[in-house]
Amino acid sequence: MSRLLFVLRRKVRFVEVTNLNYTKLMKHVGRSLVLFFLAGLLEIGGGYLVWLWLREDYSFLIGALGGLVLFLYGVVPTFQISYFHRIYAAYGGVFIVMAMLWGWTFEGIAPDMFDTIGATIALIGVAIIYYWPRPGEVA
Amino acid sequence: MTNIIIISVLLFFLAALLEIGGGYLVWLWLKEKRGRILGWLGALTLAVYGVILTFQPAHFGRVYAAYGGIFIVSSIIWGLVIDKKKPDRYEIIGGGVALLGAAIIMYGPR
Repeated sequence: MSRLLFVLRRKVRFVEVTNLNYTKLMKHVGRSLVLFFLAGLLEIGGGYLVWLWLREDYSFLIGALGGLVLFLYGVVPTFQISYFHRIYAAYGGVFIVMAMLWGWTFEGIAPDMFDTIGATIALIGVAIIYYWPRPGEVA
Repeated sequence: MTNIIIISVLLFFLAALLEIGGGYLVWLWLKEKRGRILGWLGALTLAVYGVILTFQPAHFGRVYAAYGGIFIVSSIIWGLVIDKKKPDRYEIIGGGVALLGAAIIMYGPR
């Protein structure tokens, strides 16, 4: 219990140091998660459309649309508030989970126990990369 | 089988290079105001990335966990080489944790 309080207090201190109040912090987390999700949707969706064009003999227009969607995917991270490399590294973990969800939804491949455990751990990694408080850092 | 794995990994590295490179060009255009031409180039690079993915011999699914892992490492290397930003402690730890997750997805004893 005292350990937990210690951790919580440290957290509060970090928030104070970075001049973020709780509402602001939650807004930052919520906004960035929506952007990560949107990027994943556009990347996998765009890639899928190009795949349909070249591998499944759909028309060129589908492929061109895929190219456009991939370009939009590139625009989304510019709305994130952080460094380029950190946004992309964190996105790599998001991508692992979203590719799995895509396979589940559109190809009926349900994740098994190892998929679920691995995906959860990947998301913890994302949280450390992207949301660990860095006092004094302007981002 | 070994050949397929080698081709697969090489294609993923190429894809990550194009994807991060394309994203970076779009970033330079929109965030650093470095000219629209870079944006167009970025769009083209991202489209080529989509094409490269179709050469992938493996099917959509678990292999994409490997791609996610390659992507994380490539992003940090990109920051180090292009932006001259050393990864901080939490990027290294978090990256390692995410790679562990990807490894469990790939190699979990089924």
